[in-house]
Amino acid sequence: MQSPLERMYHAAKVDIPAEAAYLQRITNNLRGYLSDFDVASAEAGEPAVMTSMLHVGGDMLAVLRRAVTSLDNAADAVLITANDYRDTDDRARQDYQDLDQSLKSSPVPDHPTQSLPEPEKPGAELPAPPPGGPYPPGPIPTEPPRMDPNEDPPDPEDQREERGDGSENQPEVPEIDRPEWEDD
Amino acid sequence: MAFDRIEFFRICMDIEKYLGYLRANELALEYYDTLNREPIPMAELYQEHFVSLRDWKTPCPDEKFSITAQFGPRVWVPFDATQSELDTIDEQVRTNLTTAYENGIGWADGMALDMNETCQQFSHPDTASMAKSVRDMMTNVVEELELGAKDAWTDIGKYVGMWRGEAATAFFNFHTNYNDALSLFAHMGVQLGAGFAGATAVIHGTQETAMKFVESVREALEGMLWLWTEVGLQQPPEPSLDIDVGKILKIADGVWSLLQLIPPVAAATKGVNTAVQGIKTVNSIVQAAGGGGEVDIHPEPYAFTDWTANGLYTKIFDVLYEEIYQKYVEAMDDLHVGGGPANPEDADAVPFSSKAVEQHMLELQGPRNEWELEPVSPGNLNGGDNKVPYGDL
Repeated sequence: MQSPLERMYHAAKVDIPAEAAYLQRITNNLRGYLSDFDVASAEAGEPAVMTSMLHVGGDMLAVLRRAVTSLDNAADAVLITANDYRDTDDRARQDYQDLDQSLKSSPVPDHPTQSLPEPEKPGAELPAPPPGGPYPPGPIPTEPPRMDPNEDPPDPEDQREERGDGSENQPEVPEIDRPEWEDD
Repeated sequence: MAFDRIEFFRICMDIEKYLGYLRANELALEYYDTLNREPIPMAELYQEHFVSLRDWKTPCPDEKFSITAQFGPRVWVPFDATQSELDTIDEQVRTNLTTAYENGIGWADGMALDMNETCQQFSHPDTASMAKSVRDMMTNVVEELELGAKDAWTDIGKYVGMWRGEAATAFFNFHTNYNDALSLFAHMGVQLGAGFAGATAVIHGTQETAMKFVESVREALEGMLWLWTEVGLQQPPEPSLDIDVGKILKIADGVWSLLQLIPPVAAATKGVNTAVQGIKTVNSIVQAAGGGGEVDIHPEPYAFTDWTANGLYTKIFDVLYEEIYQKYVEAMDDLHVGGGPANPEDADAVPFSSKAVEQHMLELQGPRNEWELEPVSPGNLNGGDNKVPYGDL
């Protein structure tokens, strides 16, 4: 039969930290996937289906991160409460002395999580464009040039007009000159 | 197979190159025909002369597509032209044919860059890695949340109900709502997975469509250039082949039929079975993108009627822009606003749309705030005026 103090110590040092570690793992995993999708979304020109999902995911991540912090705080709170009982109640003090040494001395661990502020907004860092300007040197490039996916592609109609049809510079027909044969 | 945007760009470079060769052939032929159509200046003083093209061929950078002429063009020369004058004019004609040809070689320069730009919004994402992230999110977030929601994480719940004061109340609320929050996030995680999976599948299908298209255009151009080498410097017959173009919206229909299986977000159904079904569905949406089989791009023959360089150029961009890029944008927009049939009588039955998921979240974040968990601070839970004695615990 556990004493109330042992229950509290166990909750503060084992159960709640285990839950925090579990939720921390989920939270950091989620952060990693959202970060992947943030980059993919930037590469795909920030389509609404991606940015709205990133909005939901980002808000979900924020709540989960705060929940991990709350669990850490809860462990601290339970320990503070237990120690308050120990310091003010004789039976609690006795129960404290009966606790396992390891339970008494083990620390209450923290569970840090990583943030990902506003993934729904553009600005995910994309891989660097290839060196040497947008058009790579040499006949067969090893890397296609990187365009800005947030700009809509140009209308092909405009490109067509710019190009012309290539027959503007046809050479002249050569002649053998006989000026004296010119018509009168 | 995963989309290789470097390979895609290489094929665009080949198309640019081949279209330049094709235009060059056409311009050389055009000049050749111009010579042949030239009217005689003064019939009594001029005679026809056939330029020798025996040792001439088009200076194609790709030797195998160089073409020769069976007959030299006819030019009009004075009846008293000397051999040296004739040699000079032969040389001029050969030089001019070469010039006309070379004017065409660079005609399509920059086209690969333009094609790449037209496709930039779907050619960059790595759909195999997106598919992996979707599947891993299902396993390492959604399934984990579902498991956790079943477990009591502390056995001091009884005390939490007894303590009073601000810190105790916050703890109590947090503790009470914790499992529901995890269930909600498991449920929302399925919705997230559905949205990202849908986007992944549409991008993947678009990439496959674009790749197949440029591959078949390159093949057709190679065929055209071969025909030119076979007939010499004259207009070759039109190739009788179809170029297939995938149908992006039909690919999206396949995604939709799976998205229908995702439980509507407003239903907020809880329970393992819902998540399991959702996870299964999400995983099957990204199956092809993740390398588990081919996506059916629903190829349909697209009418290529003008096989000139100009005609092909126009068609290539029409397909890339109208049939691929714009349809991609449409399919992605559908995922956001919802493409399935909505039932106004039953809000819970609204089929998946990322907009609906976002709106549902905003509602949960509203005045009653069912989205956020109450924060717990690290203070004495048994504080305040009405302390619970140790003996009562």
